[in-house]
Amino acid sequence: MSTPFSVLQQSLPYLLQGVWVTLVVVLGSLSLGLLVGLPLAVGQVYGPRPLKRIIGLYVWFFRGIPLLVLLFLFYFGLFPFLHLDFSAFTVAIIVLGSISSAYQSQILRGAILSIPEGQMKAARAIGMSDAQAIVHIILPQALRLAIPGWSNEYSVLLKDSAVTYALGVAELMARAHHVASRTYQHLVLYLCAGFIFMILTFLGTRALNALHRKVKLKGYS
Amino acid sequence: MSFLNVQNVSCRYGNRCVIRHLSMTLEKGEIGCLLGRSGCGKSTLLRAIAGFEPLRDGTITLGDRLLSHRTHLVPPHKRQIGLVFQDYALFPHLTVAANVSFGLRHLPRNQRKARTAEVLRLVRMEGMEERYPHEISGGQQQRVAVARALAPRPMLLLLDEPFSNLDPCLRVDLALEVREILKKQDITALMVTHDQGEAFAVADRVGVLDGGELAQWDEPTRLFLDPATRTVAEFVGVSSFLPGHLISSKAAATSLGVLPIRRQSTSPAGEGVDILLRPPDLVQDPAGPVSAVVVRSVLSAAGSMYLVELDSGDRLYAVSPERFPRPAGSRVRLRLEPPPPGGWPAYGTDGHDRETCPFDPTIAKNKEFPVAV
Repeated sequence: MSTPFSVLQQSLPYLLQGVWVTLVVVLGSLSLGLLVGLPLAVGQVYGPRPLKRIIGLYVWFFRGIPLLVLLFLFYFGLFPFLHLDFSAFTVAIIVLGSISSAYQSQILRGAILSIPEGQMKAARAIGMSDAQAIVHIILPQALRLAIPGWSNEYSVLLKDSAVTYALGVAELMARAHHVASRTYQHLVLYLCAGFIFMILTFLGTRALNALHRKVKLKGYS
Repeated sequence: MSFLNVQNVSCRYGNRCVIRHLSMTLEKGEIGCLLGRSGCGKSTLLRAIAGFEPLRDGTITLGDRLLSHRTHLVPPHKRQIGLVFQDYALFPHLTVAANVSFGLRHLPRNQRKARTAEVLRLVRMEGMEERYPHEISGGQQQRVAVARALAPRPMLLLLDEPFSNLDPCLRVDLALEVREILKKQDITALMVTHDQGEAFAVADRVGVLDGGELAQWDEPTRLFLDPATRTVAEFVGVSSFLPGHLISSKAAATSLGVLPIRRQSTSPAGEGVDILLRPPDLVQDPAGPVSAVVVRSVLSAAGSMYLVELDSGDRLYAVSPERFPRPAGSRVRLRLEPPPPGGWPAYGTDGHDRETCPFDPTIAKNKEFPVAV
């Protein structure tokens, strides 16, 4: 007969491998979200009206549909329909990244809009084009301002990544479930998974806070 | 053809006309200043010249280049026009040196460095290159902003209330210093402000904008001594108006007797006019012929200034050579100084838009005591 403690001891290395998967999914989708969200934010602030509308639709789509629905829609529906053979892991990053891009675009849009108008004018007046001013003056400031919002996005994504277990991604939650259903030690295993998520949230937001303090623009409240 | 030519320019926000058929010119090397209350359209005009505001009508040319037209708008970064803002608008993520050298990115590295050092020396900010904007004072930030604007050698420098955020004692000092810098570099500049002290300290030519129209565009002394309209008179210096009525085209009867006047329009005799008197025109003098009661007194650096009430009930400003002002309610005697050549400036009472409220804080704010011209 195995005690809760011995089960935990034996399964911990297996669970910790899941932490890596979780982290790759989270960091992958966070990066994808930034990569897509940044141009979306710029387009939504400076773009022509039709572009703003299209971006608005995109954001509405990914913010309006539950994560689980999107995961199933893409994994079982859209990608097979397009004859694209993506692994559950890849689909998890694509879907989480797309959702995150919608949220991140709004974080960044707010940050861009909070930069005083004079910055753009000052940049234009010393000979920078619109695009140069955005790249050299607006975005370096906006990205700094976006870090607190970004840290929130990280913790949301981290927890949302647990849902990808439904596609069979071997992340932390999936592994906890796997062990629990075989050993019947549900309490201790889910407690342990939850605890690890808490630690990951804590470490991540701490790191981003430290980054924020380091690069923060002085003179802004 | 002047260097900067603003020809018949109109600007609108939606249906509201912010600038109406405004024309003004500036010669090369001249410093112009537009004065006006908030909302008079002065900043809009500056934005239009900088290229951030499309025109409904008219043209703007600089040198021999057409910058703005109803259907043609050179983008701001291709205008070679420098801008200095009220809130400095330095780039907070860049050092002082980087702020200045950003506008020089087309130059090779060593020339860039040399020019940056040169303009920073010009504004006396050498040694501060590695500081960040938040690490220096407001006055220093504005110096850096001036250096940043001058670095790419603009054809025209626009200054939007550049000294308004600085404390008053620093304001005129920095304004005078900026004038020297601009003159030394032979820079053509146009500034807007609501502070006449700044305007008179800096400008070769001052204009007063009122309701989107340029009421007068003239040398500072002419603006002060011969205001074209009542609004200009009110806005520049401290003014009091003595009511009277015309007895001929060149004289008006008032409670101070018949006074010679000059005015642009010809009106029938008997019509009411307001005669502009500046505080130094009415002087406290024990032997003076006019008797009045002090309503309020202000102690200023040059002596006392009174708001007095004549026996006729007219209220006017007067100056006193006495060091300490008499208390309110005292009876004083006054003398009217001889009129300026051509007579006292006078304005019709019919179209007058605003009643000057003596010692109204909003007006007093714009008027410094004493008026130094």
